[in-house]
Amino acid sequence: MSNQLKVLLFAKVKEVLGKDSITIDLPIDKSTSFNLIQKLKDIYPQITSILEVSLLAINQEYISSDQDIAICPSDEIAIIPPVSGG
Amino acid sequence: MEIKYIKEHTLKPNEIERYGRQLITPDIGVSGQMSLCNASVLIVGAGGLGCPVALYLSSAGVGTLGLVDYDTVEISNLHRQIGHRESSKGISKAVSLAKTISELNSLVKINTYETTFTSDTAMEIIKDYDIVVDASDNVATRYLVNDACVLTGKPLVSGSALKWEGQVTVYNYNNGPCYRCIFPTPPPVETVTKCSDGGVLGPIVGVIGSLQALETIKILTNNKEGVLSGRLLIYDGMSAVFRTVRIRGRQSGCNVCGDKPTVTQLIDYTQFCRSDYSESAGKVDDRVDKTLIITVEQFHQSIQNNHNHLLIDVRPKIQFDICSLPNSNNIPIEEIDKKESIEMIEQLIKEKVENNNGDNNINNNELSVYLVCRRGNKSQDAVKILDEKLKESRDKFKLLHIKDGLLGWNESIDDSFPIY
Repeated sequence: MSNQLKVLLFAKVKEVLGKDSITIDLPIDKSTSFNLIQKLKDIYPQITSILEVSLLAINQEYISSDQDIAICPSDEIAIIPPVSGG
Repeated sequence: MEIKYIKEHTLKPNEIERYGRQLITPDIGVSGQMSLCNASVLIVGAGGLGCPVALYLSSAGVGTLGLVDYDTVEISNLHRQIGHRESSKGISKAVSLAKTISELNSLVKINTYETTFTSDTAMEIIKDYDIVVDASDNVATRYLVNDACVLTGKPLVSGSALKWEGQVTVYNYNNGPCYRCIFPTPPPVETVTKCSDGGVLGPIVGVIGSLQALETIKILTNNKEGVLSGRLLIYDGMSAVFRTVRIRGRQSGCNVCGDKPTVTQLIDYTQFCRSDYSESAGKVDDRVDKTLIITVEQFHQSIQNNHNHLLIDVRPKIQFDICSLPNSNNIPIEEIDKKESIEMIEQLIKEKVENNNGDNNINNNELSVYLVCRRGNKSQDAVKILDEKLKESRDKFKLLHIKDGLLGWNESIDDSFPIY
């Protein structure tokens, strides 16, 4: 059994992957923020360095990179890289 | 003399008339307007964000505005930098914007700083202001402005924008986080997209700049509760969605605003971020071996001599569609290392080599494969990739990236080639 997690993408990750959201499959017992980020790095190694400096927000709440929390398919998951243009 | 009216404040009749609509707005009132009139705000950057910020804050009657920008107005700024005019082309952005806002509200005092905001100039400029607005366009300036605000205890209203998106938040306010609490490590240079490469829309910087002006007004009028501190507002203009993400609070371990800061005075942010205090394109340094470089003049000479060649333009298709050199093949840098692209290039090379052997009109020279982009930056990456990926057939052709790219072509060979 696995969870389909929809991840909203912004700024540079959106640019590199060429889409504004992706769906990530994680086993139900492994649906956590740590595993999600790890899986993103595994599938898309080209965004690894951006993920290191991006914010992860779940249900519009910042999740610190040292915080491993459970995620379910109804959660709104967003990867927010810094934007510096203006 | 007969008393005609009672007015227990110092707003003058002309100010009451001018600011009437905002004066009667709930939570502004006389005290709010007086705070605005007595306030001073420094705006770092007089571009896409700085223009709407300055226009709204000056029309709202902020007493003193400081405008910092080292750059001059170009025609390509005008689609989004709404505080400048065609007639300002070539003059300082700070001066140009000051002129526009003084025509809008002559009651506002304006200080212009036609200089780069750097570790050397920042503290002297910032000291006279109550609040700082970050309307800059580059990473190094963002860290510099943040640290300068933390060190001087001033709130920082930060905005940024690119393409169809923008972000706004307030740092260093009411014990909230600073920029470094949220983004302790500068992003790797190659992950930062500039407006000059990625594009940006006028209404996007307009929305973000307007929100920055509003947050500034809220702080100045002491409407503390609603200030966008500890929250990051993200505007996705394409989907028409605003999201407000709760970000973490002030970090006790933060290097600049934490309990034991390691940054106690300004540092060299160009070194810290490995990038300049500007987003300007400028000339690109050589990163590849000399044998892989050709100048626009040499390239021009070579094609004039009808030298057998293959020209690959590695810009994104959206840019290639604007204008390209004759006989160029568009293979964007993002796709150049893909199997299909390599196969296509190998096929093109094969055709050219065969063509060369069978056609006496073409100088019987070795085939040259030229890589071009806008500035000669990405074409260096492309030359490295192809040098590696085409190893097996490398003896059949020369591989060269065109230094300074199409901007160089415009400068040295054909000034009618459109530049964007």
